[in-house]
Amino acid sequence: MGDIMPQWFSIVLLDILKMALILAVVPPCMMYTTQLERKAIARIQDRFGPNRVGPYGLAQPFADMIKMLVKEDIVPKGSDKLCHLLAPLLIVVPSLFLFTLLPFGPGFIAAPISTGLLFFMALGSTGTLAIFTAGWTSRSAFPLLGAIRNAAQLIAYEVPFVLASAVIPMIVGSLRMTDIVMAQSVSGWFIFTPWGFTAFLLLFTAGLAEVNRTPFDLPEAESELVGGFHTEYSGMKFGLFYLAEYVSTIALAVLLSVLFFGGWAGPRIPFLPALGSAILWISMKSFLLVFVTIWIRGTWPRFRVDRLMGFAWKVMIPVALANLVGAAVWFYCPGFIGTAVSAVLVVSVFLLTSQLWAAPKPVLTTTWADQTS
Amino acid sequence: MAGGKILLNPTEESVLEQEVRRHVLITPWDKLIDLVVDPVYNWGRRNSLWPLQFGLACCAIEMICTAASRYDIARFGAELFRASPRQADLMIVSGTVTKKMVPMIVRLYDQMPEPKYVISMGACATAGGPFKEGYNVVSGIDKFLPVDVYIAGCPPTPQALLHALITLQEKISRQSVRDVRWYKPGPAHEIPVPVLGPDLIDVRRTDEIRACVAPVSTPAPPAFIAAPKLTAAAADGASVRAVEVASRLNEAIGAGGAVPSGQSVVVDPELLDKAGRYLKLQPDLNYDYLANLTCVDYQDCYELVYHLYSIGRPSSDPLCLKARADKRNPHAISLTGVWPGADLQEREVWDLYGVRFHGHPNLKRVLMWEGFEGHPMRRDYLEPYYEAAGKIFPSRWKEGRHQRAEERVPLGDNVKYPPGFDPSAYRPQPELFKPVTSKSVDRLKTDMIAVNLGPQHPSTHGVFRMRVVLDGERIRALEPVMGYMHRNHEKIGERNTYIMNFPYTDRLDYICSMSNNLGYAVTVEKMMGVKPSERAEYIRVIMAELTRLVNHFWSIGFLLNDLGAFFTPALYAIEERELILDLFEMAAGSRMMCNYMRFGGVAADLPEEFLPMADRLVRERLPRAIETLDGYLTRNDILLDRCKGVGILPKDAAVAFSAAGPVLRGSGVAYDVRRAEPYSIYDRFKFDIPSLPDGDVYARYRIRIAEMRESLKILQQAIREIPSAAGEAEPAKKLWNIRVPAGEYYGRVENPKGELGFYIVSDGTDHPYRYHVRAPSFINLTALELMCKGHLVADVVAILGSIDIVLGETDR
Amino acid sequence: MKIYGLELIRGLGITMGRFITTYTVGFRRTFSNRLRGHVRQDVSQKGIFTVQYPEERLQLPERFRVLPVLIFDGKEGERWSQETERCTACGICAKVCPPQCIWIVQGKDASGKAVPKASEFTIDTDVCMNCGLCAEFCPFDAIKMDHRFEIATEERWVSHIHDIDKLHVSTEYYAKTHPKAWAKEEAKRHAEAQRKAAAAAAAKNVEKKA
Repeated sequence: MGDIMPQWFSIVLLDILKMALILAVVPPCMMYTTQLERKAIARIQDRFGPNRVGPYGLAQPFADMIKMLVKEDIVPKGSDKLCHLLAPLLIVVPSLFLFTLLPFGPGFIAAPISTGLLFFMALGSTGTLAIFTAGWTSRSAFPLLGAIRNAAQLIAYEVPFVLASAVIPMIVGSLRMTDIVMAQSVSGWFIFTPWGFTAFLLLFTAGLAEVNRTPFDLPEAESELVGGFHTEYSGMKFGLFYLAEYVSTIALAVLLSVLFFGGWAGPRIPFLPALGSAILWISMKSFLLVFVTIWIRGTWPRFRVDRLMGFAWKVMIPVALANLVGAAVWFYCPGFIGTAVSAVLVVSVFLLTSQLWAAPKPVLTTTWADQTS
Repeated sequence: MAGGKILLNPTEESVLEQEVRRHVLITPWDKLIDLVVDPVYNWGRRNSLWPLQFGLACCAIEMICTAASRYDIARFGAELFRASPRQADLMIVSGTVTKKMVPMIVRLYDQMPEPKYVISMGACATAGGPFKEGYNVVSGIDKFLPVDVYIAGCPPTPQALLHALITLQEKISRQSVRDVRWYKPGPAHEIPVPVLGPDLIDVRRTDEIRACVAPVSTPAPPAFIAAPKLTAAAADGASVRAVEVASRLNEAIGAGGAVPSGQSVVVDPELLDKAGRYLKLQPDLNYDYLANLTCVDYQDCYELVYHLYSIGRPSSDPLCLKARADKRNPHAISLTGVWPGADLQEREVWDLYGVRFHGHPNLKRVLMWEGFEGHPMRRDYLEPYYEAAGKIFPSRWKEGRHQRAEERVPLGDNVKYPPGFDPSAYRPQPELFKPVTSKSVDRLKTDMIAVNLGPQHPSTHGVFRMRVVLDGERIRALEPVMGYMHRNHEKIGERNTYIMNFPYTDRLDYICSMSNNLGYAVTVEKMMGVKPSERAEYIRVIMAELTRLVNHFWSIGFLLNDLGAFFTPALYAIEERELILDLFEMAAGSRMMCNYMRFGGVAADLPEEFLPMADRLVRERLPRAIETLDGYLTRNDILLDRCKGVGILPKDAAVAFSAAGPVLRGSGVAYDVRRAEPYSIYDRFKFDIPSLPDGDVYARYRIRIAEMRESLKILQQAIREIPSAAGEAEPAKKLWNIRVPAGEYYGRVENPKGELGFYIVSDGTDHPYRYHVRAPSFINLTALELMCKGHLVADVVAILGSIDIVLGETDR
Repeated sequence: MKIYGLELIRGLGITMGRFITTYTVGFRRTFSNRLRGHVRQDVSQKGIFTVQYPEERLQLPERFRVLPVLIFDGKEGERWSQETERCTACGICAKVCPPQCIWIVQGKDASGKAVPKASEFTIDTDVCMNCGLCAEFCPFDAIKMDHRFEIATEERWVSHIHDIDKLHVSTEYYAKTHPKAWAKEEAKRHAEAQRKAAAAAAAKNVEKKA
């Protein structure tokens, strides 16, 4: 290749190919995740879900896409047209960007930077800016309330998110995604360690809050705020918000598979090349995690705003800190003692803080006095 | 063919156009559009129709059932009901379109982006339906919005709605990018929002309105009767209780202030306050519960009627207190200082009769809008479509040629304006609300914002609006605004014959139609002196208790939905409800609008499959379903977190605010009409009255679950003991035109939502003289502000869900 | 001490149970969309609860009521006539209808005298509340409630006003859709006819004797 074209050209070409591959694969994945969500929630509710559009409803996402593309674009009268357009773009680009950092196989990663995990965290929190822009430019009460709630929620959950994931580079010794996967192929999947299990639960919960999924979907709480921050968005702009939510969920699922479930490691599947088998394994693990988020969505009701913040600050941060200590203990005393100590530490901190958090709050007694005399 | 012109209907015309396009005007561009663009464009649009989360009345319940698991509109890709109009394509107008609601509907429609479609579901949305003659009803939504598909029916079943969806999909398939209205050049045609003036003003027709002249001859208004005389002779016919109370009142408030009359005591309207205080505070009288407050329009006065009960002393008799307000200047003293539950009811009397209550904290219209001209329940108020004083209308038979009501009136619509009215010069009055003083706890002078929740809101259980003043996320004040579903039930009820009112009572609390029928039947039967047979009584009890289950399933499911549980518990509950509705359909012919009870029995005896299926349901399936729901929800941490300690209604407030049903029992008052004043054969069954002292949302939820178990007990007993004499269940004689002896009666039943009362005054003819419905949902809302103050916005939704209101009953 | 989160896990278990049941009970339905025509769901129903309209339809009970229809004695496909129509224009249905959606013109013969036939009969289905009182109180079994609910249209000014032609259905159709009611009414009609015949024969005997 080097003698046909200059090197910088081949690098750029390769990068463009990688981006094209992500753009070609991720949006259809997202479309079929929405389809999976509708079918899975339907099955939880004893019904079929979309099954008339195409065989078994498989063409449904395409119908939704076509419909959204031809919808009229409405911009509220007083709002800034540029910002109104900017918000959905600001939310979609980083969420697609996340996929460049995730390893899908040995050597199959778009951007193998040495600080992959950190950059992932940083990108994940840019969504707040976009949501706040959306709520602010809509110039209406409900979107504003939704945007404010989201900003508060994200600030609250960013800290446990980072703290919980801090165990991984502590144990592995590197922030590089590929190193994390390789470390697990040596010492076993991190999910089977007490600190790994705790970190997984914490990261899963905080991640759900980051991507605004139930039980943390207050910013778009339909039953209260009509539509939340995207109330005033129609057509493809709304479609982009929709896309960003699911793409972030998929990225979160892939991240969790990489950090805790050994990434693309797994027994070799016959009849497939090594790379194909790796991609299939990581896809299956991510799919299962996405399914769990959908399952949770179909089951649990929603938290109230202040309880949500309280949970992050009062329960998750102490548990994450205890987890760090526990992981250090486990690292230096391997074997039964280390495992037991770290497990006991984390569980006791959790029980203590959850009692304090779930303690009956001072009941707002309605005082009413009979005025008849 | 006259004049050589071939007349085609719209469908044939578009088919012809398509054929011409396909085979005559062929250019490559046309071919591209026809073969590629149109099919894809139409396919995408028709398979992804996202409806707006918007339901008005009874038809909305069937719409929700269509989205539930039995009919599953999701198969068509249409289950994503979007709450924001900006993201929805399809507006299903499901329910009666009232004048008060229509500006909101038009505004919502304008906010929807093109391409958008409208399905007019049900007779009411299509042309006004059975409520067409009402003064607050618009004769069809197509007076304002372009409708794509119409469905007749009242209500159309979910399968009919799915058929309409398929019809809409077929219509979309026939469209083409070339001639759809949203790609035509020119400015976007927004539909101008109508204005609420002395009557609804369609701003597109201001010239016509200005030029319109009132009709020369109007039909005669209904006749008056005089109020029962208050002479000494009448006092002799009064009941012992009335005489005793009247004499005590005379001692307390001044001689001549109280006169006994029949079963009631008539008091001077200026001394009402004193009389009320005496009756409430005297320890041996202790009338602490005001069940019903209403007004009757007699020839010589407006008679205010107050039905009082004593919860503190349940063995004492009820008391009916009356006051006569002068016709020319009707006023009385407000009793909100004595019984706060009188608040909304006095506003209703002011709105509909024009009786002013001095001392009321917020006397404004509650069902109609401020600026409406006239007090519509007055007997001499004639609606625009008024035809005759009572049905049967003479225009229907012998020489009955069909004529739409619109064709009889000069403006062609259900509106009438004061003479000389100029709509272009009219400025609508600003809405006035109670002023809220800001008591900010911290020194920061923060602004409070006023937010509207509703009338189109996913969680307000229909078209209900709350104006909430927020300080951050905390509620400082809350004012409910009603009337968006005011369908003039009582005015129409006065015009109907007694049997015609049965299907109208179905539509009061449209989820519990059998119980409403029962309440009405019990009241009129008492006045007629008719008693149903044993078998009929058992059938009635079975139906009423099955209705209680139906209502509580729905209520619990939607409480959870309001808390954000994405429909799953609601759908589990709706599944069980569907099986019970199958029973109703089998016996009465309709899932929801049963129209099953008659005076003296039921409309038709049970079919033979009914009892075996009901028995299996009640013994096997429903107990298991209740256990599942209980297990899934009652100890759920998030539910506990959001419901415990939220929306507390203290015990004395519950009684003072005239709360009823689970709201009252959830505050520690074990009062149930089935025990306090047993009707039908309820005194034969063994069941408990659950009550909890906490008074919060969680207590009301647990009471509903407990009541479901008690209903199962009653049902099991009833199905076991029902006499098998077939054919006895129907009334002895099939009478369609009955006369009820003159007199008055207040009959009440324990509806799943609370105490449903019917106050009927008969003048001896075949129409009621006054027909009033004491609606539990309406009166339970009096305490809403008290329950919500200090809570967060998210709690309001839960509190409203725990009260369990239905707008058909609240607004009547 | 309350362990926060256990009840939530239990809730997840319940929903997963329902999820799996929809695949295991009646699992063939997952793979075949086009099943039986008319479905009646039993009390023991588990798994998928959906009745896939329009391919599957719920079996409607006999008393199901949508819009009223007039009955004439005849077979399906025939046209009604004044001889076969049952309606006598007594007007009870128009009088008992709560929203007054029935308009009847009583027929007149050549000399202008009223005959017990309806010459015009109109029902405005946009006002009808499907209550069934007309069918309940008709003394001649002439007006009944129909089962057809697939009545969605794209316009309403013409198609929602049912005139006498549109309203008439044959007794064969009625017998098919309401078998039990038909059998009961026919038995009553038969008994009435026999009683009349017996009375006529008795009157004749008396005449003969006299």
